[in-house]
Amino acid sequence: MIAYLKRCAGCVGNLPAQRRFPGRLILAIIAAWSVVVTAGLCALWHYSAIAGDGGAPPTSWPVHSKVIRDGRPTLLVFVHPFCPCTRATLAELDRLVAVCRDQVDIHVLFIAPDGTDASWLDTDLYRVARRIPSVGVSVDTHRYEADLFRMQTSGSCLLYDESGKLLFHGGLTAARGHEGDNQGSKSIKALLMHKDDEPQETPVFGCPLFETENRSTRADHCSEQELNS
Amino acid sequence: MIHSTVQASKLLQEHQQAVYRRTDRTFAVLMVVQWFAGVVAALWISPRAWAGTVSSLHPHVVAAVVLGGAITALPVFLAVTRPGFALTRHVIAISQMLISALLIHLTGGRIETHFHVFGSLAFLACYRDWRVLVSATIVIVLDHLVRGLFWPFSVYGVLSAPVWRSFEHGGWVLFEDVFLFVAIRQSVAEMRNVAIVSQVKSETAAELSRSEEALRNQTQILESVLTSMGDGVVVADCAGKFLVFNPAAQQILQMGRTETRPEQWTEAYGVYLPDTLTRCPIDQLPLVRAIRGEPTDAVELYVCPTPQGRGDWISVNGRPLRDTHGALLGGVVVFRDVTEAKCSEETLQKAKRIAEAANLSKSEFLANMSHEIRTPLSSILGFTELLRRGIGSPEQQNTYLDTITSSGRHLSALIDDILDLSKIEAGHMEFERVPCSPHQIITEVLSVLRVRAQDNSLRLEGVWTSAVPELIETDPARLRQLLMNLVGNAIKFTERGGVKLVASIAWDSPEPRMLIEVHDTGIGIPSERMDRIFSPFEQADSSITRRFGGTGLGLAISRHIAHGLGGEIAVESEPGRGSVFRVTLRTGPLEQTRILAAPPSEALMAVDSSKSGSLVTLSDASVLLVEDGESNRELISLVLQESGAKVTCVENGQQGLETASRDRFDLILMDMQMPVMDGYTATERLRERGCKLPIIALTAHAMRGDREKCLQAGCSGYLSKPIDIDELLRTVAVTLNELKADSDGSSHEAGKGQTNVFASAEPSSVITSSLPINNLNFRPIIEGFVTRLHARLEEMRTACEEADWDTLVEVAHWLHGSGGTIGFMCFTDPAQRLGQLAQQHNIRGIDDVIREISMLADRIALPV
Repeated sequence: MIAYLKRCAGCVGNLPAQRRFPGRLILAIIAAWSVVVTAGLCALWHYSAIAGDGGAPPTSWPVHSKVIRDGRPTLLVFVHPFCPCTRATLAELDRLVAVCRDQVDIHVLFIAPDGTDASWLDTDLYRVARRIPSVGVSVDTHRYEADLFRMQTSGSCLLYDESGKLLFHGGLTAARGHEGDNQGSKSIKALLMHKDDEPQETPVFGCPLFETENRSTRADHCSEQELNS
Repeated sequence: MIHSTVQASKLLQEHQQAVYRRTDRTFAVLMVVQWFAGVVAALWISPRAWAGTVSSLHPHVVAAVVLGGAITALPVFLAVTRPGFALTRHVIAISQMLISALLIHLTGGRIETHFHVFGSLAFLACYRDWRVLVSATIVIVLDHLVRGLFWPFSVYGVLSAPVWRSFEHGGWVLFEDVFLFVAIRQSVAEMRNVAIVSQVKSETAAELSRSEEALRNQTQILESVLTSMGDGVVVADCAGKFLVFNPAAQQILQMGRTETRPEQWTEAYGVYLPDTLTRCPIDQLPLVRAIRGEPTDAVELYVCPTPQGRGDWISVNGRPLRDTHGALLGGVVVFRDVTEAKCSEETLQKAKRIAEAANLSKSEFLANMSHEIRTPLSSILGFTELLRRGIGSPEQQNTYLDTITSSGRHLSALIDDILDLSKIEAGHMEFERVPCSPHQIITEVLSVLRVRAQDNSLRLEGVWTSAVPELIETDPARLRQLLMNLVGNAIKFTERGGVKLVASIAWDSPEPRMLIEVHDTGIGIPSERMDRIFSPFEQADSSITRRFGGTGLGLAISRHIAHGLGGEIAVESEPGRGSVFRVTLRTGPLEQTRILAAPPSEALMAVDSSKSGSLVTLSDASVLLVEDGESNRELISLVLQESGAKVTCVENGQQGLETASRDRFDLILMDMQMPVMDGYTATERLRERGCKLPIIALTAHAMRGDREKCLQAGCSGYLSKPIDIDELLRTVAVTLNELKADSDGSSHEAGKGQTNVFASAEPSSVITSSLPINNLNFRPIIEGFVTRLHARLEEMRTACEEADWDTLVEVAHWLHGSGGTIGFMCFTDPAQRLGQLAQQHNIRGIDDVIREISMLADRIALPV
């Protein structure tokens, strides 16, 4: 094994080969390559770990919301129809539905900014959401619900109990566009199973629902009381 | 074995290296694909980042392009530039895990995307190097540790995750690693086995290749040997199918490409038993016996593949062919063409039979010879004894003398035949070609044999059936001998009727040929004996010899003479009715010779025993006689003086040379063996000085070579000792052109046959000279010889005691020449034997001869 490592380190094959490049140069190239690749991967992982603006949702169900509740806890998911990161959120939502469909009333709200037409919703993400059973898919035109719930990032989820109390807000993925085990899904399941009663918050990984200059229009101007009145 | 293990390890390494390289290349492609897939996924899943209605390029897309490209770049680069290197596959493993992390991230951490990690690990196992999995696993663990430490919610979904969660994730990876590790170990073990098997196969293949090469070489050598060898080789399997046959076998057996079954071999290749008539039975064929496991050696067979072809004798050896376990595979035969040896053997056998027959014939001949010699010898001894004892009246005694003379002549003829046969066998019989008259020779032969024919009451005649050439070119002596044999035989074997000689010239060929036929009405020759009568020592029947006498040599000598004269001899015969012997002879060109319409008168041509010195007159001829022998000198001078010649005598060649230079002579008689200067030298000197005189040589060596030697020295003629007085006078007369009769055809030839004419006719106890002792002039000469003979005898004895060979040779020469000349022919033979024995230094034989000469000398009676 040691000899093998030496051969590897010396860039010497088991049999003589064309040595177009000296061993040291190869090692240098490999070292440089390792640095570049490692840096690239770290940057990618870092990018994936950058959470969006989780917003400041009202702690009680706003009375002006047009979302119709059925008496069960209500889970709202705000989605930008083109956000690629939200695909993982919908996948996790699908898994969540499979487990808790009877305990929660789920609504997926696709943001339709002003000036968009029907083609805005003609996306794969919209179709995926509609295929999830027991999930209400609706379009939030003119940012009504998003502003009402002060949501800024696609993939943001809000869970209100039967009384309209905010139990959870955050994302259902562990990283940007990354499926798999995540704290958000676990928290929702625990809240719905009444295993945990404390409000939970997780980071949201997704695209901004609005342009930067339009982000806090109504939410910034509406107080908690206004939203609930 | 160690070498094989090392080679197997080497093969394994080569195989592993090939796997590394192949997997490197595969990952290079895969990583590029993954990169593009990541970019596509990013563009698909999160193309843009939004804020309200405003969007911008999503950072994931940038990360997919830039970071994904960065992660992909190095492993692809190494896979292209350094495939197979350990570092390359480890970098690939690390990059693959990083790609997994990136893809998981880009796809939003989907569970499904996590399978990319496990798939990548499985894919990395394709390297079959468990250490690669270690690198990948370390990356995964580090990823979880670092992210768990800094961004725990991105991995575990919580803000603070325990460390064991990282090990939990790493544990699942290790869980897979265990299976992959086991699989890799098994795979490597299988590769090792494959390498070993490959190595064994390779070595086996190499060994097989070497064996094949050696086999090919051996086959090539065997083919060369088979092709070059003169013996035929045929190999067949147990079914009789020919596996191998070489060119010699093809040639001898005329084998084609057609397959033949064993039962057809005898007929197909014409194989016969040694009697050459019976087909060889199949089960006796050496190849069939070899196929059945039975070896054979030196089986002799006769093969004649084609009916019209010439057969060959072959000697065959056969051996069965067996494998290493002794199982019979077939058979092989090697055969040799022994036709030549067989022919040689047959020739030898034939020669042996001929030799044995010849030996038998010689034995019979010796028996006959003994009889032939003893018969006249008995007569001679018996009648001599009668004469010694004085028995019988004078008339009866004359008859005894005639019988003795006749017997002596017969013995002489017998000896002549033996000598001729000896010459024939030694290849020394010589032939000359000189112009001579064929008619004269025929006439002489008929004249000589007429008396014998008359004694037998037979007709003897000769006719020409064509024009007669005056001269032909041939050897007259041999022709005469040939005709004497044929006509003599005809007379001998004819009891009634007659003998006819028919001569003619055949002009129908470019070179004329003389044809002589001898017809008789005798007993004839049985057809089965015809081919033997010309062989030496053969007669038609052994009883013939006893009935008719003869040596059985005459026809053998005649055939040889006929061949020597450029012709042939043939015979036709009918038993009881007679025979015809036909002889053809070369005549030489006849353009320059006179062709007579009819033969000349026989009276003119006849030369017979009636010739006499009384007819010769040498009036006033001046003759120089050069002779060292006193007796000869006196005798010859006396004979010549009696004939009217003037004779000057000198004793050696030097004196002769001086005298001939000083005085004038008409002729010189020159003895060739003399002291001081011999006759050859003297004659040469005389010719050198311009002497044109005829010189007649006198020599005791009556061989043919001596005559040529004398003529070469410059002699004009030749007389052999003992001197025949008539011949001497005739020769001198002819030479001087004073002889009235025309007899130059035989003037220079002194035939040996004539030498025996001088048969002793002395009484049984007394030896007298054959010279005309009534002539008083001869008496002193005879007395002088006798006196000198006794002195010479003493000289002989002394020389014999002292082993003085030269003196003995000289005395023998003197006695040989002088004795006969003085008329004592009885000394000729012992003197000749004495000379030969002295030359051979044979003292015992010399004693006997001297004793014999002494006894003869004691019996000499001087004329009263």
